[in-house]
Amino acid sequence: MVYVELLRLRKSLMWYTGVFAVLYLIFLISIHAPGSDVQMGGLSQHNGSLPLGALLAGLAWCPMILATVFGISLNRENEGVEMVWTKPVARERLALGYILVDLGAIAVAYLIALAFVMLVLATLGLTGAVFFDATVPRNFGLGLGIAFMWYGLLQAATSWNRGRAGMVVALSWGVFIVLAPLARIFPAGTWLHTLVVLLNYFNPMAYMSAISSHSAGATNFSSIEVRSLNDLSFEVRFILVWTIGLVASAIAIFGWKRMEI
Amino acid sequence: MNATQTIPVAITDFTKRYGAQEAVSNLTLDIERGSICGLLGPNGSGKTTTFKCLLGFARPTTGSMAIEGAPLTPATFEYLGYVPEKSALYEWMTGAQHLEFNRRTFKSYDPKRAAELVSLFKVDLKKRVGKLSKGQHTALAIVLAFSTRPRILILDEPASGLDPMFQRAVLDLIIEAAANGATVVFSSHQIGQVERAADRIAILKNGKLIVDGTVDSLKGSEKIVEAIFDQTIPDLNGLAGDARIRRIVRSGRILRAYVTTDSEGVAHRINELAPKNVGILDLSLEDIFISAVGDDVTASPNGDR
Repeated sequence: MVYVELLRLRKSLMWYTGVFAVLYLIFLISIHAPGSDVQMGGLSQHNGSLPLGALLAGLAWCPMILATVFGISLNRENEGVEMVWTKPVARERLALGYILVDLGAIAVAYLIALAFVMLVLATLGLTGAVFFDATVPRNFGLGLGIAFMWYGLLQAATSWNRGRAGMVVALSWGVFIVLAPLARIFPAGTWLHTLVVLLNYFNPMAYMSAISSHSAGATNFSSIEVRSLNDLSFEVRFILVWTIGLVASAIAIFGWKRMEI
Repeated sequence: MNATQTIPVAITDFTKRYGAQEAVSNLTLDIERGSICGLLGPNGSGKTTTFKCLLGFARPTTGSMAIEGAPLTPATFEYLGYVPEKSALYEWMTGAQHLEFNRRTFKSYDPKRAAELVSLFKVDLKKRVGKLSKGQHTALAIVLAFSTRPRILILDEPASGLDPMFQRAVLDLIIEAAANGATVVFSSHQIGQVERAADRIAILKNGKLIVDGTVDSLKGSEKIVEAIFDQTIPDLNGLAGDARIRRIVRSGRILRAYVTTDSEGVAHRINELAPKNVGILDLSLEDIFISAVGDDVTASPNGDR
């Protein structure tokens, strides 16, 4: 049922892993270069140890980037949708299958990024400094949820039409990057500030500071911060990102199913 | 009713509008089991729109479509094969991967049949579809559609881009499928192909069904009296008002009268205009098509035009 999407994901994840492999090679070359001196500033902040939860917080960008690649999978199908719509599978089931395997691939992408960092630390002989802390499942869940939220929003915006998906992805990066700092530009209490804060509830990037501020050691990995979102508890943020992701995905499935060609 | 009693493809009072434009108007068409229906019409006549609605790619504005007596459901595609007008294959996938996709999706997928068809059309399964020729695209689409041995086939220009040898192979497949009880609806711009395969013809023009009948009945319904003149065609002397003539077409020095009855009598009357040559011809499907959709001179009670 999701064979085609699995082939696509396999291809994308191979490229993604390839990028990390190249980065690792560059890293190896750089540490063996004459006069190289590797500084681990982060470790000193954590008394010589590195909580895995904090690592996951910092790596949350990786699944998010891939979420924007996978987030147009239904739109990609639309170019030759006659192919999938003439299979004996209900459209909503097919779309749900795509979303589930995409979500799985986003989680795999997160773990690949983590594996890459662990490999780097192992090369430096620092694996002993990494410890499993209580924030690991929370941060992994929120990091994945933020990626899924962006993914769902892209699916909802693109599943029901043909083409233009690349433009929507590019636009989403631009809008989301700009939207978070805007909350600090407009004075609190003005309608513009209220509007921007409201819009930021739908901005995955606005939740990135939330993930880092709730990791052990509270290292702020993100420069984007929306105060009103930071005031929310971890649980509320967690529920929000997953709910928005789910609702947006449901809208995407509905839009795809109802689309006419 | 069981599957053998129901009408395999039933289109009832179907209309599709896009905004103010009516793509298809009040089309009613029932296609019997085991028959091959050639859907003809110029570009924009509504053939592809009809196929789209029949397959659920678009919704009828009014009217209904039924496959084997029921509205289309995902399960319908287990026994319905489709070849689209434009390639809908994945350019980045190989032919083998397309077949694998079919194998994983259809319970009715027959690997032996698929292998026979691949060999028949000489499809290179290892190549990415993007690197295949247009003809090979079409051939792969045909292989996919026939690999499940469907009992209903909807084929939109199924021989497009194929060389004559493979076009013939496609027609043979269609005829063979119908002989085995499959119902086929197909469109083609190549009227010769339709004439060879179809037993029923439906012609659409501007979204309206203007001709519908079996090939034999349509061919037997009229004769053409063709006259060739030395110079220009003279005044027709009120010939257009002749009740035996449905339509008159003038093309350079050639005059063609589409005659519904007494072709000998009409030929005799045209002979009085002193042409170089007069003959009575049987209608070909091309004649029927051109006569139906052409915008040329038509007889009218008000005189010759």
